[in-house]
Amino acid sequence: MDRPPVKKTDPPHNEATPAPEAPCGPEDAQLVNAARNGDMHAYDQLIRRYQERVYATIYHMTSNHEDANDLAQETFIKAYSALKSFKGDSSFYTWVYRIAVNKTINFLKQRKNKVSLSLNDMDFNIENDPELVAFVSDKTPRRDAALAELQEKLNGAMQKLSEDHRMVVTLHDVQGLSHEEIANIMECNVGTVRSRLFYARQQMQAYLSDYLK
Amino acid sequence: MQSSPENFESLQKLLRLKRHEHPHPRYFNDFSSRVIARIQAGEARVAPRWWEQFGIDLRAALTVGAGAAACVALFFSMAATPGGANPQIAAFGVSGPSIAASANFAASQEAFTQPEAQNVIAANSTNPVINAAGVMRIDPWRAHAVPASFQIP
Repeated sequence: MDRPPVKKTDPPHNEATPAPEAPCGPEDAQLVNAARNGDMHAYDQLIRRYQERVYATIYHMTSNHEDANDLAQETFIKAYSALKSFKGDSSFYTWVYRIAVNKTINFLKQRKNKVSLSLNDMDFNIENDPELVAFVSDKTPRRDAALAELQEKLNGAMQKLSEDHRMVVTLHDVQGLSHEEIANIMECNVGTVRSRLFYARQQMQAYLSDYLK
Repeated sequence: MQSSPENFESLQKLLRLKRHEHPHPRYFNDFSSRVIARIQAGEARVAPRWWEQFGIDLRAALTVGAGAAACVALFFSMAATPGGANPQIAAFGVSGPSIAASANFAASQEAFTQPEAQNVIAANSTNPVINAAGVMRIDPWRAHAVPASFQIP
C-alpha cells in the first residue's frame, strides 16, 4: 500500500488555475431540471459551461485530440440519458466529471498500450509564459522544435503512468482541482488521492529527469 | 533546478505547460450543437437493463421461451389425453408406418374405434403395450426400458 509523506499545505487550487468558477446565468440545478423536462436549450447551456474542462481532462488523459473529441461528446450524451438518475447529491459539475473520468479510464483500459499521440498545438500565450524559459531557451533558433519536443516528452511521460495515477496528475497538476474535489470525482478518499499524486510525480520526475536537472 | 522527491515544484511548472495545449480556436463553437444533434438522433438511450448488459436480446429470449412452452404443452396434452388422441401411434402398432404416415388421421381414427376393429387389434397385435381397446397407452412418467425375456415351450 502506498503511503505518501504528509504534505504540510495544499492550496485548493494552484495559481493561474482554471478552477471551477461560479457559473453566471441560471444555476446548474435550474438548468438540470429544465433539461430533464426536455428543454434542449438548457442542456446546451450546461454543455457550454463545462465542455472545455471535460474535453481538457480527457485530452490530457489520452494525449489524442480525436479520442478526446469522441469521449467528450459521449460524456455529455451519457449525462443526458442519465439525467433522470442525477439526484443532486453532488454538483452537476462533479457528476459530469465523474462520467468523463469513468468513460476515459474504461476507454484507456480497452486501448491498453496502443498509444497514438495526436497533440493539440500550444497556444500563443505560451510565448509569454515565464515558466517556459526555464525549460526551453529563448535564445535558440530551434526554439519551436525544442518546444514541440518538450511537449512530446511531457505527453509521453504522462502516458507511461497508470490510468489512476495519470488522472490524479491531470486533475491536480494540470487542471488545478483540489484533493477533495478529485476524491469526490474519483469516488475515493483524500488519502488515496495524495498517495497517487505523490507516486505519480515521482515517476514523472524520473521520466523527465533530463528537463528537470 | 531541483528534482528531489520532496520538491516537485519544477515538475509542476512543467506540467502546467500542458494548459497551453488547445484544439483549434473555433473547435468549441459548435461542440454543443454536435452533442445535441447526436442526442436528438436518438443516441441518448435509457441505460441498458440488466439482461441487456449480458448481451441477451429480450425478443429472441421470449421467442425461444414461447416455443419451448408450446412444445412442453403439446407433449403433455398428448400424454394426458386418453384413447384415440394418439391415432398415429395406434395406427403404427397395427399396420406399420404406411398408415402412420397417412394424412387422413380422422378416417383412420374412426375405423379403429369400431368394436370389431378393436377386437382384431387386440387379438392380432404383437405390440406389448397395446391394450384391449386397441390403443397404445404410455405413461410418460413410468416409461422405462425392461429387458425382454422369452420362454420357449
